Amino acid sequence: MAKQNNLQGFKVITTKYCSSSNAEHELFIKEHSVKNQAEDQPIGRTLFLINIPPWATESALLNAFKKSQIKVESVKFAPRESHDNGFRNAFVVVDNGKSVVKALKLSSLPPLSTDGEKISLGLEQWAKSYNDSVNCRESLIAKMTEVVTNYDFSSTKEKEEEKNQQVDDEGWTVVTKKKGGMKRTERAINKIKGKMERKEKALKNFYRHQIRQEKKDQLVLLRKKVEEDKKRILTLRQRRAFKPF
Amino acid sequence: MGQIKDIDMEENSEKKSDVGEVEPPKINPKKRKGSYKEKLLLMKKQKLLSGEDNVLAEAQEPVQKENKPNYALYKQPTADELNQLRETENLFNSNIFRLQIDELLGEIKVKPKYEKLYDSWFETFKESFKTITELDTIPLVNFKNVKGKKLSAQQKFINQTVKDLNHELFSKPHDLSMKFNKPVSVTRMAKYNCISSKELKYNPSICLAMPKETFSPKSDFLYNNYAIKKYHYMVYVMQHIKSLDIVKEVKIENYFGNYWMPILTIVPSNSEKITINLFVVPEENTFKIKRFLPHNNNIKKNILTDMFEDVKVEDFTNEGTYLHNSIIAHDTGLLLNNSTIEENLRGLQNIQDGIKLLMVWLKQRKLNETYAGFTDDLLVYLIVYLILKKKITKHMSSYQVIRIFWFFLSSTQNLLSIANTVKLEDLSNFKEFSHFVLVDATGCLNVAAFLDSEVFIKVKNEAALAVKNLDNNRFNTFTTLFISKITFAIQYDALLKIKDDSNFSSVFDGCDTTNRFKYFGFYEMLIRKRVMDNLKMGLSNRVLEIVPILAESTMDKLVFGINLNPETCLDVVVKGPKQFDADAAKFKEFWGPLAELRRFKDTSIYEAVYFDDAKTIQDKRHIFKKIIKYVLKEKMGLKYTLNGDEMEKILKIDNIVAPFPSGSNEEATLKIKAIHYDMSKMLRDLALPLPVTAIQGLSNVYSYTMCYPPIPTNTTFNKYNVESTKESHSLLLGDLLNAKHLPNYIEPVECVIELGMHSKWPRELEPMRAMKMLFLFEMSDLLWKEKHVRSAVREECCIDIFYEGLVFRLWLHHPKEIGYLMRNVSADGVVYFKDSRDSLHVESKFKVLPKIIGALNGIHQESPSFGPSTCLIKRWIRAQMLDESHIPDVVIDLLNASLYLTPEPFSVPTLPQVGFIRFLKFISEFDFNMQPVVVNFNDNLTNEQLYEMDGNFQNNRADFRDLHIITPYDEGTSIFTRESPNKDIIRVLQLLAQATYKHLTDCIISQDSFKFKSVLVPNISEYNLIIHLDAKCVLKYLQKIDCTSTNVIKIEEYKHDARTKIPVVGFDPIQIYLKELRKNYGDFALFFYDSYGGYKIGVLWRKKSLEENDFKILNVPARQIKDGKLQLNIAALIEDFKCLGTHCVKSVQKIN
Repeated sequence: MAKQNNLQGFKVITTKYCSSSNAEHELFIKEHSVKNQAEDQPIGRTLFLINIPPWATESALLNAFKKSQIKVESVKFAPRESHDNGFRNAFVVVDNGKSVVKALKLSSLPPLSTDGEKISLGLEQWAKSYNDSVNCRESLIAKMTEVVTNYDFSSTKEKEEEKNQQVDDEGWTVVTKKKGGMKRTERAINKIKGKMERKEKALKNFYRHQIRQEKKDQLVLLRKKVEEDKKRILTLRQRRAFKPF
Repeated sequence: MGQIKDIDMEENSEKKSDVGEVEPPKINPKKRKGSYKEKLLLMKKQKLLSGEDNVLAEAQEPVQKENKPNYALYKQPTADELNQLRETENLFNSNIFRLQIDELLGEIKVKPKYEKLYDSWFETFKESFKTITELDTIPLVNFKNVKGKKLSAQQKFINQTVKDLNHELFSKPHDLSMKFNKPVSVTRMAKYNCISSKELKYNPSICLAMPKETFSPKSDFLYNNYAIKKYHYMVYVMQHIKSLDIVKEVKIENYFGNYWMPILTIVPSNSEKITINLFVVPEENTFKIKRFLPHNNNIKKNILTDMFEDVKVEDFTNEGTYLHNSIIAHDTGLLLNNSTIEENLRGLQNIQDGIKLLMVWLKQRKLNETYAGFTDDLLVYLIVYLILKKKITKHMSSYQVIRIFWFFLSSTQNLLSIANTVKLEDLSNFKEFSHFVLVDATGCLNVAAFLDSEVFIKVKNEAALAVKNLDNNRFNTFTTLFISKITFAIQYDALLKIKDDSNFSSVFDGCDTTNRFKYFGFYEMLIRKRVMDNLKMGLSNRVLEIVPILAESTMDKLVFGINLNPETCLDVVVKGPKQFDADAAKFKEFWGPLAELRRFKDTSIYEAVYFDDAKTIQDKRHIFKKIIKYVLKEKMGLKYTLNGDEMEKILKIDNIVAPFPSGSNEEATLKIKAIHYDMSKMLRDLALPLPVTAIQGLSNVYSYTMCYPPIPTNTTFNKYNVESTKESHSLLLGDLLNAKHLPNYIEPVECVIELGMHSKWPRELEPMRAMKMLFLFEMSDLLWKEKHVRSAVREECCIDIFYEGLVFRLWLHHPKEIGYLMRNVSADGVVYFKDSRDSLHVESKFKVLPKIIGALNGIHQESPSFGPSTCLIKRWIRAQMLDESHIPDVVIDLLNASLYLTPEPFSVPTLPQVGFIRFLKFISEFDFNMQPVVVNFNDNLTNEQLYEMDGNFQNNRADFRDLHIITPYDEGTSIFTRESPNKDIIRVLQLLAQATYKHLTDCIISQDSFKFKSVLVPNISEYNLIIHLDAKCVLKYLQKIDCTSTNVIKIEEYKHDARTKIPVVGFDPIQIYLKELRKNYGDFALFFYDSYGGYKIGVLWRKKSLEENDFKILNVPARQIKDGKLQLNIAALIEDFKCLGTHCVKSVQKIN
């Protein structure tokens, strides 16, 4: 048990895909408690489960816990992060504190995919999703139409609101400052900044010292280039790029 | 620039002493008495430093220095430096080119140590000849071993000598006698053509003149007396040299392999790095040099009975013995020529450097091998000619020398003379015998007498290429010109090897006696010329070059490199002369049964040969093979092998029979393009709310670089694996688990639709996408209603259209979409645009890719080998189990395109195989870390832009991709390599390319049969796991190399039937499986697969994931706990791989 302390309070709980699988995944579980806990993760009733294999589903986990005689209300995957791999974390909400203790005592979950509740993988699953992607005409049309109509609606509503604002019940018009002006985009801001930084117009080759400086700068530029090239040659030489035979 | 010198000296010296790196700055103003200016400066400095506690200590800190300008850059330039800077601008291509030249010259320079060694050695060597034993006249028949106790000095000498007399021609007893007197002079020769390196020995020459008395001036230029006597004299000298203790080794060798020009090679005892060539020549005025002009006959009678037995020499006493004359003329004029060279080149370092560079250039191209090549001597003579003609002057830089040389060579008139006494008529006398004439200082020898005319043409072409290369002025110009080794294995489209055990006696028998006489002593030159003439007659303008590979050719073997002419080599007709024309009979005789009269389109009638069985482009590419077969096998009865097209076999799947003649991918591609054209027209005609303006290709079919394009055919309906519902336009997958086969894989041809402009598109991402989908649905409905064409809109916002037996997948792209995807709002409410993964994906696929595909198509139209060679490359890379996720198809296309746009140092290949081999060379040698790959389509990017991009890349290497490709279309972002390939894959690819390149070129060079299958078999022993796939799921099994299936699939021709539905398209279970594996387990393992029908997936654990870690939530995924540490749960992962590929994976095998 001492070892378990190293695991930052997590306990190991094993599971596998189906009864015929030869190896088990080690999941880690602990009671979930953080400062600002979300509403759907009630304190004292939520477990945090990590290292869930990619093929597992929320409902399969729910069933597995239920089979282990733990009353689970819900299993919810934590949202994916952008750089995520397939392994996931989940919040398991149980009915009361007793179940939490009980759950933490579990050393393994039954196989997640059973004859009754199969997690379908492989060819079967792929064929299904292919068929779904082809055979989705009606639902897609409905969905898209909804999005488009919603969009149209919201953009016209705004305009109406604006109009309403301007003329009140008694026929008075509230004169507000005209909306618009600069858009707050990066480009616009840069443009303003650039304007502010713009220097005065002045002759740059008027005085002798300016002319002299210009020539010096030219020389420096040439020299710099020579130096750069020399460096490049040096790296090439190190790579023995000049041995012809 | 000169004015820069005007910069105030005070100011500068001031700065120097003040901040110079050596002296620590003196800051205390009290200690210094200086001008007003100085004071000002110091005050400024103090101001800068004010606020610091310890002024002195701070000032000495290097950190402080960094903030100040680098004064070393501002220091007063010296005259030398100014000159050098100016010179670089005027005389060299670029600074870096100059530095590279300097480096190379340093590498090949003869070290002063060896020069000194040689100098001191030579003095002793020369002295020693004063004491050489002289012998009075001896008949040469007396040269045999005599035993006895009391032998005369002469007989002792003879006994010694006889051992070394072993030349098969010259040492036979002859009825001649000669004197052996000490040489009249021993001269060091000009050594401007001497280079040396680690592998290359220092190779200076000495010329030793035989005294006049050795020869009888009246007869010894005749017959072969000169050769025999010279040989005996050489053996005599050799005896002497052998006795010297400053010599380690001496032997007689043929100069550049020239049988008739033996020389002595000496290795001195003080250094093995030196080999000395000793020429033995007659003393001046021994012979009248005019005797050796080409038209004179100096044989009269053949006394070397071993050769040319059947030539009755007496009958041809008036035929010029050009080559034989050249040998004696060479010896006679050697000293004079040497002093001419010495006079013109002495002290001119730049020109000498130029010669050395040119030697390296020739050597890398192996064009200076053997006496019939473009020898180093010839090079020096030509430079001397250019100096005398004032084309090269002593003020020129080495860069200018090589440039002028190349330019001159590429455009020369072929009739040149170093001696200014020679008239043009005399020169044309030489012309009769030799293609290129460069008469030496004596006016009687063409120093290019032995130069093979085809080799000369090749050198000329190479020179033209070199000038072009210089003008392009790319970063790797120098490397391609001087450093890359260009062996014959990759120089030519095809290599022809002719072997004849009887030393080509049948060819020799066919030569007329005049020719036999002309080539007296140079039997192989005659054979070569004869074979070459026949080949040229047959191939005529189909080839650009047929170049004999001299170093590989022997008495019984001839090797030719052939470069085809891309413009004519696909012609199916050899057009001969007009009927009844004078040449018609000749043409008929040459072509025999193949020649026939044909009427051409303009109703004229010509003699012609028509290759009617060449139906496909692949067949047409091989017409030259047929011609060679006819010429060599049927006409000349020679046995030969021809390398150049073996690998093309893998581009054609024999088990699939298309309804039209097809070879490599061109025919299917053309078919698809034609159907695409019709479909575009149909879509443009549709009454859509917004008109379709264009359909642009996204698939690499459109650039001819898809290995196995889909072949238009009918939908096959197999009720065991496919279902059909009434309402849907598409067929669906059925119960695959119980079906015997899965439906055939059908590749969708991807395109992007371009619509007319419209301002009413929603200005947000989601609604706009929804709008696009609705538009596609409308299009789909219209297609069915108006044209009876079936189509299906897919979730991913594209439409599959089944048209003429093909499934086109059309995407709808709106240019604003990229902007919406890039849009972000920062914390303070400022809108900013930043590339995101999605935006880059959309940009690369819909904005950049169509342009790239179009440009690649352009390359293929210009050089039709581009498509098939890219396919070979793809097939090879994929066979190494590197698939699209490791290196995308379009990246391969671009890499190969870079070789077609800048093919230097080669010309663009005409056969795909050599393109493939050159690609291997390119990959294995290119330094991806140091250089970007430039694919400058249509030269859209200017040189300045390229320089800027290159400079950017060099200075901020880390900001760029591991493989950076510059194209004109993606603003220097290398958009296609942003995810792959990474460094490791590039490294793997380079290693594989090296090994493959070596294997293939070895095959070619050793001239065994060309075995290439082994390079297409991956090495699987390195993987940790092998996932064996179920054969049922490998739908592309016929594309596998060495596919053993006997299934022959005959594809029906497409027939329109409105009832047929869209087939199952793009469903490849293995690809889906790989995608899932990579998505879920990509952080822990790498997956490798040959996407052309591989049966295995290789798995390699990532090194990082194998490390043991302490328990942290971030470290947890895929691990298990063991002894308190996290460890990769390999057993569970293997189990996962199996589950994930249920019904698709046969087994998972652990290897190591």
